[in-house]
Amino acid sequence: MEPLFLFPYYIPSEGFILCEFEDKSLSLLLLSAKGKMVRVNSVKIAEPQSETLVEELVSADNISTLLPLKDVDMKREVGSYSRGGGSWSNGLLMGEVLFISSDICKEAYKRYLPDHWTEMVNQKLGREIVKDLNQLVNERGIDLLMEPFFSTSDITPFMLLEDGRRIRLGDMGEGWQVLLLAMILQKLIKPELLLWDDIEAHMNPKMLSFVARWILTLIEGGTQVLVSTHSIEAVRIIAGLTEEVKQNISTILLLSLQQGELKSRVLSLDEIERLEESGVDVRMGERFLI
Amino acid sequence: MKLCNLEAGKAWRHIEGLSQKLLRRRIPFEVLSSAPISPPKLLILVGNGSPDDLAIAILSFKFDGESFAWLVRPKIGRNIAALKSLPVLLSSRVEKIVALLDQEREGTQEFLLRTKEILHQEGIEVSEERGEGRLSVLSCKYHERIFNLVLLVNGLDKPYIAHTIEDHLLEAVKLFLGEGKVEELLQKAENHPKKAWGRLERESQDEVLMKLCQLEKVDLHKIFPQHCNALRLLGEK
Repeated sequence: MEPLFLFPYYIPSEGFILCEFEDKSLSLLLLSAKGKMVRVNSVKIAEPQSETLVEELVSADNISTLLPLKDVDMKREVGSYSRGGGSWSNGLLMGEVLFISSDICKEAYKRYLPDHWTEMVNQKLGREIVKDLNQLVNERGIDLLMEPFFSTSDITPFMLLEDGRRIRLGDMGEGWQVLLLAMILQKLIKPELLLWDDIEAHMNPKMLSFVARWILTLIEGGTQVLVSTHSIEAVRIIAGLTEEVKQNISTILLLSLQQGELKSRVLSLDEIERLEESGVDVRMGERFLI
Repeated sequence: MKLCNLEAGKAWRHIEGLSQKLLRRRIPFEVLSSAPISPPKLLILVGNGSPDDLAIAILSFKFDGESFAWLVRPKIGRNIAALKSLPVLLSSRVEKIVALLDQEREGTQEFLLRTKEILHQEGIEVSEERGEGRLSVLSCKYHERIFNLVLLVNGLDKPYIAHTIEDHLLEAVKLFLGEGKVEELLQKAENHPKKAWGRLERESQDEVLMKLCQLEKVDLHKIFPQHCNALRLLGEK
């Protein structure tokens, strides 16, 4: 059985879809909006190109088994989220899995944050996280506020500074916004698995070093963290720190999608460096190495 | 032959730069490519920097334009020392490696002996050796991996104090800019071909390289004999 398959199809319902290949057929696993894993029983798609069939399966009565996420071997079955559903709402945020990406963060700012503001304030999360993030910006933030923006009726998150000024979070750097939101969501949801797509996006090395330290604390706290990146710098910083503190705590996988099949090769940081010295950038050499 | 570069570093920049300059003159030079569905089994290792990378790109383009090869320029060491990267490069599926190296101040026999010493230090056994002079093919084994190493050594039988890719490029200068120009350059550079080529203005260097791209194979063979023989050899099944 091939271990991993990214499923790129649009499905009309909210939720995450996971797939499993067996021989040439495809079994579907759906992560529903309610934070449960729903398994499609004994249903296989011989021709995974059939979009209609997928839609029928998802909405059909044959979705019967509800499995708690922890019972599922996520190492083998992590897939992609559906795109184009129009509304993300709570479907983005699973009870036990947190998936961070730029798209999701934008939606979470609009919907999830206002909906969970009270919970956040009661746990003093804004204060705690803004204080942590002060080392990354040249402003002394002390808390997060939710206030109207000019005369519009929309309320917007702001950062309150020591001197009483307010900065709209939307005006902060995008990397900083994503990081702030990731930290808030992690504290609220306490996921068992954190997925972060393109972790290097909008992040400078200083911010990536901070993220590496944060990830290390999550791992040590028992969270499994899976990040994807196109940046060697991000690999060096994140895997480098985790390896420095505790050996074999992280795995670097080079992935290559070859004719619909996702192939992988485990690499160590040393190997990446030796390859670089030998004139091979692993990102350009995926076909050379896998 | 199309080259699949393994990093977006200097080699890529130089070859792509030449390609863009040629494009402005409406001369196609599409030698860099992404890897085909079936990854190449041939790797070209450039032991020195530029213009070695440009020379091999031009020759690859002129010979067997359909097949593919990986191109690397190791940073681990220059010339023979670049062969220290072989154990790492053999973690791929390549079966044949062409190493483009400079003869420098050694005789060809001495050069071959020193190359074999380096291979031995890296745990690579040489079981058979074919060819002579500046082109030889070594049948090698590294652990369980069996591969052919084609040693392609830059240099011509000229009374220069060292032998490098510039030996060949000065022949091209002779062809395009006249013998007098080469004599003038060599005189100023104390008979050192690399320094002589370096004394040529950048525009003239570009001109020579671009004209090489338009030469017929038979004329290229006169300038780069061992390189053309090696490319012919690689084209044979």
